[in-house]
Amino acid sequence: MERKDWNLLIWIVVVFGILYFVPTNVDWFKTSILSAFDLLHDYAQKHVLTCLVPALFIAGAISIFVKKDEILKYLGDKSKKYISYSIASVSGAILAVCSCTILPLFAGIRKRGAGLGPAITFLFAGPAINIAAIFLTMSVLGFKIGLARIIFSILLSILVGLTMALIFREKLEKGGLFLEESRETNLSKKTLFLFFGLMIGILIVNGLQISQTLRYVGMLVFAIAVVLLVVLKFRKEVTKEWLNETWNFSKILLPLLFIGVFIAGFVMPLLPQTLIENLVGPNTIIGNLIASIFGAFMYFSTLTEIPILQALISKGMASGPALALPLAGPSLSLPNMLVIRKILGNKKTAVYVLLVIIYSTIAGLLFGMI
Amino acid sequence: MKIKIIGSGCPTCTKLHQMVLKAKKEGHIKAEIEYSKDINELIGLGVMGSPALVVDGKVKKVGMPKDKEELLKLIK
Repeated sequence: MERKDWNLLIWIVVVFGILYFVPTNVDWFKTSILSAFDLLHDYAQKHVLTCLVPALFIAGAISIFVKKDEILKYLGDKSKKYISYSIASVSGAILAVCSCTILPLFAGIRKRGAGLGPAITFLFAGPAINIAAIFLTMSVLGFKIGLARIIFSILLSILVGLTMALIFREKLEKGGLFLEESRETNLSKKTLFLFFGLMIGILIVNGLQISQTLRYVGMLVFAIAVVLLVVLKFRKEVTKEWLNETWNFSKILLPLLFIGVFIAGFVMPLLPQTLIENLVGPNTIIGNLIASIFGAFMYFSTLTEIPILQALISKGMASGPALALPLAGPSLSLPNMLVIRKILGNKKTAVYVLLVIIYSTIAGLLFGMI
Repeated sequence: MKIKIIGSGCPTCTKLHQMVLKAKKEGHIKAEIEYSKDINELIGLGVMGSPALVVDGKVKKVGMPKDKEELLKLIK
């Protein structure tokens, strides 16, 4: 037998073992499986086509059409501080960075660019403010918490960056930076604005409180307009690159999201309601602190924090902790702390983690009072 | 000549490595090829992005070359 066959055998044994021992006639298991499929069904019907798919197309378009080098210029050593902080705080949405480029970008900004503060702002905001996560939060958990998530992520990223820069003073190194060159696409600014506007239009119509038919018709109109614009104005290679990038994002995000939804749906009936109500039910300092710490140390792959949050909210989590968790969540996790530690060292990493937890707690507390 | 590909182990980085290996196999270049996953090395060079294509210690390109022609132009 070859190695491939051995692997296959192991898989068969594992799957068989699971099927052999699976407690199919136990009540809790039946409820959980049903709940998992219920939640998957809900996402498939309400959120994936109308929200996530357009958001993925937008993310793909951003990575093709937004000129990275021009934005990163504002994070260089010569730019004004308030400009570099504000650009760094929204960079997650405009750069559509994948996790593998965050660290080199972070280190470049810190050592040869705008310095530690803006670099930390970028490190926090990069994963927290991505288009897909924000719109999916709005679609699943409601407009209010989605909006709060953007606003507080931006605010917090700047605050954490400023505080780090105040506590630690670092000298910049000399030497140039090498950036990824952006490709020329030969499209006028007007066309690009229209293109992005139409795509964001789809997401906005999806969020409106109107009848379902009207909503679908509106979204269809916008979608057709996007297709027409692309067919008439874009060169073939550009369209191909755009679709390629979109496919790359989908490949990474969708399978993980569905696994996350399945797990969240499965554990939902098993979560002890009284325990959750006691811990994060009231909007207290302790409740928000627990949510922040849980978010900071647990690993959620992008987007999976949303179904997990949904499960917790259904079991009595208050709105404050429900915001604190996704604020501290995507930017920090245990494996990610270990990597940051290699670059920043123990002391700075510890302070960074503490600051994120403290600020997220305060933000949750404030939001819970509104 | 020494060609080094530095990346974070992401799919694009492995793709670039394969592309360079293939160019050598087809006889377009004669070079020592090395693949590194050391992020600190990227940082030391001041590269903001991955992968980086480094020829004899000089950064030639950050990101993926458009096609084989561009790659060959960079490493020849």
